[in-house]
Amino acid sequence: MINTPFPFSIPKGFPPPVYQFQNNPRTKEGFELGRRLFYDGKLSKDGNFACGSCHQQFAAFATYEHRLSHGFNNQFSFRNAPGLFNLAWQKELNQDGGVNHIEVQPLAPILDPHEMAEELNHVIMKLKNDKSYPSLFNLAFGSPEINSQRILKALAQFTASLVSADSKYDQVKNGKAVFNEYEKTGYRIFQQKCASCHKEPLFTDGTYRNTGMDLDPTLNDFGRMRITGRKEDSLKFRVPSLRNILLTFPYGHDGRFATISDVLDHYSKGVISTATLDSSLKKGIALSDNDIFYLKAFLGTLTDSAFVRNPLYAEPR
Amino acid sequence: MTKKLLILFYFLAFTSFQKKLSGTDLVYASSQNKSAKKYQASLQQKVTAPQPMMNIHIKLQFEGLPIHLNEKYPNQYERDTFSISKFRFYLGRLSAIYPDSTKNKKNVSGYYLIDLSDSSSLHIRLPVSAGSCKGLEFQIGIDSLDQLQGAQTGVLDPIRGMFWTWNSGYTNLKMEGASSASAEPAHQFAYHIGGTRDPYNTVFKLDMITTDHILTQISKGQEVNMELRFELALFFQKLEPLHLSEHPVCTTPGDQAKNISWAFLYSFRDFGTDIHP
Repeated sequence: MINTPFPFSIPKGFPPPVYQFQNNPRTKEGFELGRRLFYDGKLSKDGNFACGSCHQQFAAFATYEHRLSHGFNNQFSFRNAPGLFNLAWQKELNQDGGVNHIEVQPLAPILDPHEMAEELNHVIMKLKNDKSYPSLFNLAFGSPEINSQRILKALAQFTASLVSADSKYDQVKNGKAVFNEYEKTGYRIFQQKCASCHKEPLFTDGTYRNTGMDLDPTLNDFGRMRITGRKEDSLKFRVPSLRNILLTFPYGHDGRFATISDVLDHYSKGVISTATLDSSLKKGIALSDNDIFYLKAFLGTLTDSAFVRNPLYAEPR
Repeated sequence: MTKKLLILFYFLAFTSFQKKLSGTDLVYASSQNKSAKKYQASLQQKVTAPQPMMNIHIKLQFEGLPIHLNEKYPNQYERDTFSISKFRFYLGRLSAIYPDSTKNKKNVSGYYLIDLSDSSSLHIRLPVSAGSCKGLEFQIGIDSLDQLQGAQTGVLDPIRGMFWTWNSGYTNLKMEGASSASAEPAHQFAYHIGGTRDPYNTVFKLDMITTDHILTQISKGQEVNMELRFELALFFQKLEPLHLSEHPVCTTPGDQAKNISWAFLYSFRDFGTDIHP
């Protein structure tokens, strides 16, 4: 078996990841196969919708400038596509936490009739009939066999490898850069008013919260309650990471906020009180115009330009 | 979390006969997943020191007769008929129960996907300990911990159509069919039953124990045959508060799925005289 070990390194200051490639040791060949699958339309019914078509690298793997993404047969997706990075630290996937393991996450978009709309046995058949995949599976797994487990493990080698930890914020933390005065003030405001949920260094605490967005009756998305069936979880969604936030607009689980200013306005004066509203948001978040100005300066330091330009994560040529 | 319940079991259809293990028996072992592979390996070793085996024959029945796909059966609770087009469930964690509890849980099986459309799935070979056996423990569905292991193969391969993608986890049971009582398109009904989150956990263990606490004596090198019977008429009887006409579809975890899961589990029994008049 030709397998080139490809060790995964944990960025300085990050906690140990949830997914440590247990039972799926990361290799160069496995990662490259996963990357190729991620960008291959064969995983969708009509060939048009690769994972990478809605998860665009230049948008930190969100869909650039789309409230909802476009799927098979002129359909919208159910939710705003989240950016994909630091997934190895996520205990659960999808914004309602419905997916319990990174390896099985791709099944959701592949089989969703609004997204890639494909069936697993068709994907396997298409890959088996491809002239290069059997040899790529051979390189990655030691035999040319193609099955769902191998497809999913290869995809996880790629997606769990998407690490974003080289923003200006990280460089400041590592003593390689300094915040300017605006950013420094913004960081102080962030620490006072945002950091309890958007916990450093991942900028999320991984919990599910109702942030006071009312129900869109055209979507009827009750978030976490769809998964747990519990009333207490109504309208709760996972706290998203703020890393690369300026690249992943629009915002909110349904993409209702076009700009970061809309999000901050929501927290300062748009929070709608329902039974499950997060206790920290009962009065919204008091933000002056100045606070918003400085916060935006700080949030800009979370953009990881090296990550969105890293050729390792780009569509293979 | 797996809850355990105990049911008294009037009698199990049970026969035993002496039979030496042979090479063909080893091939017959229905090993479909990882733990089953291990068990096949253990079988190979046992050729020299034969281990007692229990051959479990799963009988999927309606009023005591084999169920056939797409055949019409009477539903006395709705005064109509119904037919089954798909019937699959996970049976697993099987082990024989002994009065001497030190023998319990020594040989616990992996998971099997029982599928009415695949007759080879209806036979399970279970290694057991020698001794007086008083019953059988099993569960319907996959342990919550086993649902957190990422991409799987064998009977747990998502290609088997038993994996929920939007709310990760395996359905315990898929039963689909048609009943004129259902107002759904084409009068369909569909039960995709699963969920392991409290309070809607649907994965339960069942101990089927004979009233006299002796089922059979199993000695070294012996094979015993037993039938594990599922009675569909009983399932519909248990579901009576849950009429097909009112609830033709249940495809998400919740209270209803939990009720159906209980009804399903309790429909595994040798019903003997209590269905037929």
